[in-house]
Amino acid sequence: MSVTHPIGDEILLGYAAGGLPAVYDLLAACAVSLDDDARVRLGVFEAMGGALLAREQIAPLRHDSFEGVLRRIGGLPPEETVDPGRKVPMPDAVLPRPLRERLGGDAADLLWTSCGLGRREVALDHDVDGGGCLMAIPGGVVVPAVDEDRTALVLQGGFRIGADRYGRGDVVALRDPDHRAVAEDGPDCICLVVGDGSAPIPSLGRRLRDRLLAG
Amino acid sequence: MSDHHDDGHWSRLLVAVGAHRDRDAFESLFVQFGPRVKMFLLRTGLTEGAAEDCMQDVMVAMWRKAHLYDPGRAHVATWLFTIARNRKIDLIRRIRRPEPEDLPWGPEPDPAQADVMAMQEDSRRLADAVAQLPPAQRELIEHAFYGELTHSEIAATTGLPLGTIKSRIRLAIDRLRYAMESEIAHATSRRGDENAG
Repeated sequence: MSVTHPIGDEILLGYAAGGLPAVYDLLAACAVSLDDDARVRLGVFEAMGGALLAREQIAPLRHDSFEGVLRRIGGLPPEETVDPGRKVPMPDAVLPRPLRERLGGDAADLLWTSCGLGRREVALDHDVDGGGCLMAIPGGVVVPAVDEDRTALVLQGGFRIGADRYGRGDVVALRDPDHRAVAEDGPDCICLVVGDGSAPIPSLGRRLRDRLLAG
Repeated sequence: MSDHHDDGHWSRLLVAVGAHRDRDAFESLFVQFGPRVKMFLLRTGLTEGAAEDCMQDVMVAMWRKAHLYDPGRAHVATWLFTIARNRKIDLIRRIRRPEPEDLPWGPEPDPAQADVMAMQEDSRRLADAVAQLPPAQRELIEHAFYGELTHSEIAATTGLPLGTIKSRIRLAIDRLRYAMESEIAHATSRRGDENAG
């Protein structure tokens, strides 16, 4: 693995603690799938959660709490290990498993929408995940400018911002309009782009509507 | 504190639940961790009723998933913490929380005793490190787990430079990574020996 711009501790700690917006959970789960070092750091943060839990004070339980649990486990068999299909590794997949599960397939199986200059996107379900999309950008084309902070996880190919190169597994905040990300030649650069806002790429119609609503 | 440090005890009980559906072991784990899981959930903002129901869900999941618990990979409290966190998020959201892809080599079916000991030792040291943080930094960690604040909001609120806590986290990570790397190297050479023999 050759991750040179790994996911930051802030996002990983937020993921471990369970305090992130849903779409950042998706980004974190995907980034960890591609980066063993991030997996180790996540393990440390989750162990911190365990350390807090172990030293937690005692809350009074409902008087029939244990009986209630016993009733529920009475007839329950052990949960089967995840279904065997989930375990089959797909080393050639472009999308890490959390994204494949969310979108229902790998990059080639998806219905992409064209959005100019050869760029394509697949929007995430806004109601489920919040703002985010999968983007495919041909070599030499810039990643679209946005009005707000966004974070990108590279899944295929790569892009450059100034002298820095970002490839599969790298995470970068796209926030500086003077330093635009430009996709490298080769296969389309595919990345997961998430943000707190609404539209994957703010369309003119949406921006107009937002402005009208804000006004 | 001694009950927490004696983690080998709790992990043996959880393994017994997984292997033999041991109800006495399950009851001991419930008595130890049920009230703590509930307090944790209350502190993250759930109401009394929701925290009780969620805690019961976590205990039912402990019974059903006990055979998947690997004492070489996580402390019992950490394992329960992740179940409680996921359960709480699943209650709030309409879709299952995304989890990282499993490592290709999958969980070890029969963890070596040395791995179990090492994980318990690391967990204990980490718990000690968190407990011994100066109050301001400890509060920072607790905010991340219990509060709604984002990491940088925490830094703004407490006036603590993010770098302070990050460097401490970095140290803990380095230590753990070192332990894991030597374990992996150890396990690899062990497998190599088996293959050769």
